[in-house]
Amino acid sequence: MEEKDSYIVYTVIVASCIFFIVALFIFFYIRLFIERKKRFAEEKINMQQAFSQMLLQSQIETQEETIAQLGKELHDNVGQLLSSTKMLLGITERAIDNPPETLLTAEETISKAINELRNLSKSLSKEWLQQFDLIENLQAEIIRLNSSKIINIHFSHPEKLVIDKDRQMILFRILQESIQNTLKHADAKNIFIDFLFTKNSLQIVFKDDGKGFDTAAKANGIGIMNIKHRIKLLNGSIEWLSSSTNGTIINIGLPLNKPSNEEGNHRIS
Amino acid sequence: MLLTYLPTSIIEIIAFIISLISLSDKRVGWYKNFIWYLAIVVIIENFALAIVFYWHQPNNYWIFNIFQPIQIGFISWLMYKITKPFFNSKWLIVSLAVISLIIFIAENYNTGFRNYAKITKTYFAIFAVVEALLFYYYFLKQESNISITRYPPFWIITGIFFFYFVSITSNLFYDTLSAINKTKTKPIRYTIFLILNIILYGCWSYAFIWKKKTATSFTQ
Amino acid sequence: MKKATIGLVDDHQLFLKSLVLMLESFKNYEVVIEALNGKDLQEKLTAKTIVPDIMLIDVSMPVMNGIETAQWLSTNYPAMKLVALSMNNDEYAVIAMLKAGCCAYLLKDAHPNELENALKEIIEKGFYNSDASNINFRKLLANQVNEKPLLNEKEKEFLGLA
Repeated sequence: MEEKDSYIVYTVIVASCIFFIVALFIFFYIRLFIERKKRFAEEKINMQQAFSQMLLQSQIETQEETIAQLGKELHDNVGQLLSSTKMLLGITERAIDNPPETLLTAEETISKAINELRNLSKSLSKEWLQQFDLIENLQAEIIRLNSSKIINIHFSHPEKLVIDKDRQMILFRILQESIQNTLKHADAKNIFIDFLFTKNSLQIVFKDDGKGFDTAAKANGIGIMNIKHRIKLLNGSIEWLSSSTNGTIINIGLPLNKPSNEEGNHRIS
Repeated sequence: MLLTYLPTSIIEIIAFIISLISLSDKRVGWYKNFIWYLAIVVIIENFALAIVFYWHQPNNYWIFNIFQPIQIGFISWLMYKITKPFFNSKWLIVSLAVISLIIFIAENYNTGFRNYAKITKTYFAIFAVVEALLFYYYFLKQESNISITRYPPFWIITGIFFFYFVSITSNLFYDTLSAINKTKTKPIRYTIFLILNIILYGCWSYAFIWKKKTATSFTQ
Repeated sequence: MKKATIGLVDDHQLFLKSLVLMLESFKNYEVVIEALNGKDLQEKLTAKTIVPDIMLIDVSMPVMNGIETAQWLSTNYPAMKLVALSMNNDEYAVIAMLKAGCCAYLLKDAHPNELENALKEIIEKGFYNSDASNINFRKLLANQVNEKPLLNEKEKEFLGLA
């Protein structure tokens, strides 16, 4: 009886332990499985995000290429025609003893056209723009547009921008597109562009005194979608506030990350 | 002697207090019923202790037998509430609960109301384990990825699963174990049950705390 | 005075025609070769026996561009005076053309008077510095510094001695 009793006691203890271990095993197995599933799902989401980011990037690169192509075509073809014309006018002028004022004005006009075309094609060319920083490029663009006397753009900006070149480029295109939208649709006389730095972000306020537009109706328009895509690529935020009396205000917010060492070195050299 | 049985009672009281603190908020929904169930558990347990150590009656099984249908009912209802979002468990759980009750009545009829209902407990434990495993299966199968640390139903089921799965052996050998306990005062079965109660009420208390956190933060 | 012979390479026919017209109006130049690109010029030069004194080269051309053409000409016809002619005034093109052996860089929309003046100076002095083209020298110099931040061995030696 003694032996049988202790035998049963041990059996119960061992069996309970085994059952406990089995239960524990099942529990940890479930935990592992769920954790893996979660990690897998997270990776999937990350991959999807990376993919859509890449897609955006390539879309914008394609656009950039198209813009550059357009600029080059304009410059090469129309530019050649204009310079040929200018040259012929020059020859004519030299052939006449007393060239009339109209001929000289025509020559001058053509020169202006060629110059404008050259500047325009520069503002479209990525290679050209990337030699300078955003502020220089914007200033050049503003000088070009202000000289047309259609619009008066006021630009207040800091001394230096700490944003890497690619981001500056995207930002430049956003502002270019916004200026174009104002020029095309707003009937505005003035545009105000302000760059404001907060602790860790750059706020850009773009304001015109035009007739505004229906932000809800145009929310999915190509122009606005383009800008939204670009902002998304910059991890930034954008909002349009518009009214017929106060014109349009665009608020752009960009997170600022500290420039990497590479960037810093580049700047020093 | 009292010292052997007291820890289980203390654990149940702690679990009851935690449920009272965590689940008295209206936003926890049906979890509120844990408070009532644990209140009954605490009353029964202490009453059983009082029978033996205060009134010095040798047999207190009848009070546990009164509690048995309540336990079957509550655990089954809990299983139904928790498994409902994952699969159609209603008829399975209801029929297993009914079978358990029939076994319980039959067992009482055969051995008397003043005996330990070991057959009922064993069968009901098996049923509960099956239901818990089914829950795990469907829980792993579903698409959304819920974090188990923050998912109270998972911990409630896990507590039940451990408790009933491991208790099967002790219940099967109940007769021998209680005989040994009487002759040699080796409370093996009580020790095992103490550990199982710690696991069960530990898991539940964890679930209650998380339930309060999630319920109150979601509706803010 | 003997007429100077001139060759032209430009892919824009219309511009080529006006250029010929202009050069002929200057009286003392004779256009002997007109080519649409570098490749075309290579063929025409080897077929003809006349080698022009001055070659006006467009920078951007299909098949063989101005830079390649200028390089080829300066190795094969070192006596020939090469003049870059472009719509563009961007500094990379200017630098590349001058490096390739051009002695002047002229803009296509320059006034005929300036072009005549330039050609005259090239024949007399061998080079012409355009003051009309608004080249951004600051940027250009900055980029030059960027390109070779390291000193070569001789320079290092020199610094060591100093």
